[in-house]
Amino acid sequence: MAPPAQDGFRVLEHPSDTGLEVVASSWEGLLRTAANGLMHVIAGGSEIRPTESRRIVVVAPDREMLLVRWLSELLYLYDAEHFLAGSVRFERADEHEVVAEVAGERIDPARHALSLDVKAVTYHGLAVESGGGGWRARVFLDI
Amino acid sequence: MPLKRLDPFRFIIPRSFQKGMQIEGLVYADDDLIQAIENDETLTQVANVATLPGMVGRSLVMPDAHLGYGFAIGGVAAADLEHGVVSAGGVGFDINCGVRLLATPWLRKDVGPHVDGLLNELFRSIPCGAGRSGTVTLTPAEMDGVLLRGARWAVETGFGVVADLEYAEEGGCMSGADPRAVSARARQRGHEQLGTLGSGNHFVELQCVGEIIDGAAAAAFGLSQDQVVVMIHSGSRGLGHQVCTDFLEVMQEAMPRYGIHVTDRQLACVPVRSPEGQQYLRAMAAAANFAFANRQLLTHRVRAAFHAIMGAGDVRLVYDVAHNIAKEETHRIGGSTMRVLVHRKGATRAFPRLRPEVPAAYREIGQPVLIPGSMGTASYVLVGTERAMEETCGSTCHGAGRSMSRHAAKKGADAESLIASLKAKGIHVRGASRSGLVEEKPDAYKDIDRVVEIVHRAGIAAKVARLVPIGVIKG
Repeated sequence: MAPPAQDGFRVLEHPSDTGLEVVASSWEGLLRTAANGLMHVIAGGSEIRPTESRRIVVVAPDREMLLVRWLSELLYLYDAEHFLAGSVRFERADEHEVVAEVAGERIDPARHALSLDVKAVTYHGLAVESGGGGWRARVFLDI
Repeated sequence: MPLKRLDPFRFIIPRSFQKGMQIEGLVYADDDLIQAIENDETLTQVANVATLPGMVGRSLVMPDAHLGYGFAIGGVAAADLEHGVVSAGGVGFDINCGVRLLATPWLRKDVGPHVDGLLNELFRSIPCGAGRSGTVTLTPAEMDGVLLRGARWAVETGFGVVADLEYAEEGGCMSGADPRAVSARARQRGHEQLGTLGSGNHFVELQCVGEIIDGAAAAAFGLSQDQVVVMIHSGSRGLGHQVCTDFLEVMQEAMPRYGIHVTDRQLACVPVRSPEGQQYLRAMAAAANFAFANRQLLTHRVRAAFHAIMGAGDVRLVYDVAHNIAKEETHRIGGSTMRVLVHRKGATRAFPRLRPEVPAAYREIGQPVLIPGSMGTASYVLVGTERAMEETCGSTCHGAGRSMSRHAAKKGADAESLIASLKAKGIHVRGASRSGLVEEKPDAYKDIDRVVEIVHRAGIAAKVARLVPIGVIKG
C-alpha cells in the first residue's frame, strides 16, 4: 500500500447506516482523521472551536478494538456532555493504548448544524491495515 | 440459487450454504424481495447467526430484511437456555426500539383542519432531532426507578394513566432488570434524554384508519373507519446504545473463555447462563424499561397536544410493541416444548389468541402487531397467529425495511420538494433536520403493502387495519 498523499476520510454507504473509510500516513493520523470523520457525520462541516478540552485514555487488546473504543469515547462525550471534538494532541498512541487531549466545544445550536445522532460505533466490517508507510481503516456507524 | 423454495413466501437457506451452520435459515419473501435480499450480504448474516452455539429451530429473517450489523435487520433467532448464547448485537444498539399506537375519539373530518396546529404543538413539546435534551432530568434515584419499573415509573410520576400499563408488551415493565448492571456512562447518556424522540427513522405520526380488513379484531382493538390514531416510534436513546456498546466489549473479551469463535465481531456472544450473559440480560431489561418509559412520556405529550388543540377526549393506548429485544419464552421447536431466549432484531412479537401474555381485553382475538411504514406511506395493525407461534417463535416483520442507503437517498432529492409532494398527498411534515427528512423519503424503503402482504399470506400475522398518514414529526 502506497502512503497516502494526505490524511483523509470518505463516507461509505450502508443499507441502513453509514461508514467511514480513513487513510493516513501514521497511526496517530488515522485516529485523528477517524475522529474528524465521526464529527463530520454528526455535525456536518460545522466549525468546532477549541474552547475547552477533555483528556481521553483508552486501552484495548488490538488496534481494531482500540479504534472502536477511541471513537466510542468521542461519541460518549458528544451524547453525554454535548462536547464536539475538534483538534487532537496525542500523548501516546500505540497498538494497545491511546492517551490524548482533545480540544473542542459544547454544542452551540446557532453554529452547529447537527443532522443525525450516531447511536454507536460498530464492529461490523471493521478493518485496520498498514503497509507501504500508510494506514487504512474502515468502520461503520449505527444511525 | 442456493436457496430452496418451500412455497411462494418461504425460502430455506440450507446448512450447506455456509460452513458451520448448526441450523437452517428461513427467509420470508416473494419473488421480487428475495432478489433484493440476495443482492447484498443479508443471507450471509442470517447464515452467520445459524453458526452460533445452541441456536434452535431456524435462523429466520422477515420480508423487511436488510443488511444489519452482525445479525440482519428483520432477524429472529432462538437460543436454547441451557446450551445457547445471548448476543448483545442480536438485540442491537437501540434496545427496545418499538412502536406504540394511540387511538383518539376524533375522526379525520374533525382533526383535518387542526393538523398543522397539532403538529406545531407536538414539535414544540417533544424534543426531537440530534443532540436534543429532554425536559426531564433524572436524579440517580429517579433513574433507578425508570430502569426498574419502566412505563410503571412514568405513570406513577404522572405521565399517563394506570390503564396504559395493561396495553403494552410486558406491561411496559420488563422483569429481571437490575439498574446496577447499567454502567455510569450509560446512565450519563440517558439522564437528560427521557421523553425525547431521537433522530433517524424515529417519528410521531398522526394517521387515520383508512381501511378495516378484520372487523372483529379492529373492534376489539377499538379501531374504526376514519378514526384518527397516533403512532410513536422511538427507543432507549443513548442509554440503550451505551448498554449495547458496553456489553459488546464484555462479550468479546469473555468469548475465548467459553471457546466461542465468531465470524464477525459484532456477533459477540456468551452462554445465556454465564455470569456475563445474565448480567447483559439484566442490563438489557433495564434499558428496555427506559424505552418503555420514554414512549410513555411521549404519549403524555401527545395527549397534552390533543387536549390543547382538540379539547377534552380520551386518547387511549391500543398497544406498545418492542422490536429490538431478547426474551425468555416457551416455544414448541422440533417437536419439543422448550424454554428459549428469542432474539428479535427488527422483528415484532406476534402472539395469537388465548395466550396469557395478551391483554385480557384482546385475549379472544390475539396480540396487536404494529407495523410502521416509511414516511408518507401506510402503516398497519395486524394480529398474531397460531402459525407464527409454530413457525417463528411468535414473531413477524417490524416495518418496511430500508432499500436504499442514506447517502443514496440524498442524491437528486431535496427537502423542499419532498415536503411539497407529501403535502400534495395531504400529509403535513415537521422535521428537525432537512437532510434527515430526505434520508427518510418514502422510496428509500421497501413497499410496506408488499411486506405486510407477505407476512399475511405466509400466515405469520393477519391484517386488521391499514392506517394512512396525515401528519408527521421526524427526529
